Amino acid sequence: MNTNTVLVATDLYKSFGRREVLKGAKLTVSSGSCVGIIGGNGCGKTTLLSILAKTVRADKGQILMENENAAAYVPQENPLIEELTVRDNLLLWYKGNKKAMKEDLETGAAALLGVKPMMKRTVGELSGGMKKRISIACALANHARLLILDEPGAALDMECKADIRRYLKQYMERGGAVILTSHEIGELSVCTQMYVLKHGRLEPLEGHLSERELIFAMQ
Amino acid sequence: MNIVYLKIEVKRAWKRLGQLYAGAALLFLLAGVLVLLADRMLYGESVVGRVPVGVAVSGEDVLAKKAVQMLGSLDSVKSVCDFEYMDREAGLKALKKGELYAVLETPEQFVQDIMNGKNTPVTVWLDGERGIEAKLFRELTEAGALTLRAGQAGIYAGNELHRLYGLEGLIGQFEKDLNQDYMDYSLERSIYFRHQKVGATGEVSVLEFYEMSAFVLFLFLAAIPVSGYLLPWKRVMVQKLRAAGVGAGCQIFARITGMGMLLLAGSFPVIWILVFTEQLSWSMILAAVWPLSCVAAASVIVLLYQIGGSLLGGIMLLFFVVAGQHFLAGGILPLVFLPQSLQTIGQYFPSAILMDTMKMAVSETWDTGKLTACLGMIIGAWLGGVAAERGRR
Repeated sequence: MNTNTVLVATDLYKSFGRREVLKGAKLTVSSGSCVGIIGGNGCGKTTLLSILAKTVRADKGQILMENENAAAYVPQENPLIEELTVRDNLLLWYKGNKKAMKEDLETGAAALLGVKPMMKRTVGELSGGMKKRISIACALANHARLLILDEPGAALDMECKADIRRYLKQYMERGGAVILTSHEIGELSVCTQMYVLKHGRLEPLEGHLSERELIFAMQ
Repeated sequence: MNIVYLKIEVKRAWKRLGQLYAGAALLFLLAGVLVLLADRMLYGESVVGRVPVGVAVSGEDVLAKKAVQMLGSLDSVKSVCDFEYMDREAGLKALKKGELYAVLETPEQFVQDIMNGKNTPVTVWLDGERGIEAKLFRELTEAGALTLRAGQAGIYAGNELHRLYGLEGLIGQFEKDLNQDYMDYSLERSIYFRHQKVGATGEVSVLEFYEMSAFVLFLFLAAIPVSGYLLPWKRVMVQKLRAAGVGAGCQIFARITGMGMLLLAGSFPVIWILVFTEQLSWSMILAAVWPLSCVAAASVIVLLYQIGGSLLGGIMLLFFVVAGQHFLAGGILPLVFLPQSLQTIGQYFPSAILMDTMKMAVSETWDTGKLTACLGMIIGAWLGGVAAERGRR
């Protein structure tokens, strides 16, 4: 694993009962890149991302990362505590480190995501787009170099999706790497590499593909 | 991270205090009605109060009237009944109207017949529709009859013995002495009524018992208005927390702590009122067992919501389990009124353990056994909650 490589995953296997979801999936991600993963509903995209983020264990296989805190995972459903303020939510994932949180709100990921003006607001009052930004800011509290997003634009309006795309580009420019899954061609436009998850394996897709070609690739 | 998570959980709980107070107002109304109904049902005024009994003495039998007066002066009778002298018709009329619970009719020559050894029955008229009171008086009458029968048997046996030994001349003196001694000993029985306290609620008074029962019920049901706080985390949150080093054990511990503190704050006005009205006195024991009871109740609540898994599931499970086990634990009807098998297992239900814990504050005595049971319940519920959380994944 060279210094430019953020993640190397080899021969990942995962089953739920008799159903084999992953059958030897492989993936390598370099800094400054964005890997897009597509696939049909229920093909195992979320399971793969959870395994890469180390929130779910693979049955077999190996994942190499720079360190334990190398990945920031933003699941499809926002892992936020609705009745608490944005500040409280951030504090939880900053593990109570107010100084680090303050710095990030000024110059870090939280600043780029525009979280500061929302600090005193209760999460339950916020829109879907705002919640997604806070979820990303919370996930990046560990200053990870790899950001894993599971359908980040689901149920968001066009403006929010554009904001998140803009942020992802900035994140990559700063040397970060992104893995995301999506069903929307616009969202995948930021990706530098594309894979399709089919029959439990990741198959690379070459070049810029149209929506029709992507649908064909998934079949 | 675990300390930060604990603080966050306590903060979440604290935000629900208003909801808890609003729900508590309703619960108190419910619990108050329950206490009043139960108290009235078990120890209602009709039983605790006086039992008026009409006494109809045939003719102008002064001796019979004196005998009845003597009977009425016995502590065992005096503590329950009021004798009113009247004729038979007036007595039966008053019985029909419900002004009397019974009418006692003594026949002519009642005392003379007793002295002659003739068993002349006394008629007692009861109102069949007034169940408990009539039954009580019937029991009392039968007990009185048995006492008299024993007295008579003693007199006749003594007379017989004198005759057997050829001492017939001493029979008069013997009866006089025996009467005197018998009366002394019968009246001595009053000491039992002065010193022996009999109650279904054990060492605490009926009021204290139902105060504790209502308090424990309040602790459990106060969780309903704050159900939102008790919902298990979504799967993604659990995964993220676990990845951050906050495992199921810590999550359940933090939730029990949060809920325990919420119950402590929520029950503060109740304890304050009880202390202010001198129903409870402030002591080190109260300062220890009150928070302990709150945490113990919280542990059971958290366990039930973990098993319930959803808002409706949690509420339904909490309500039905708490109501059922509170009854079986003797929180509504004291255990002595329940079948023997239930009495044995009832003491191990959460409500019984919590009431026993609070009993320490009422009686102002430490009880290591009760404390251990309470701590055991907390640990057991915590382990159960962790198992339920892990099982759901």
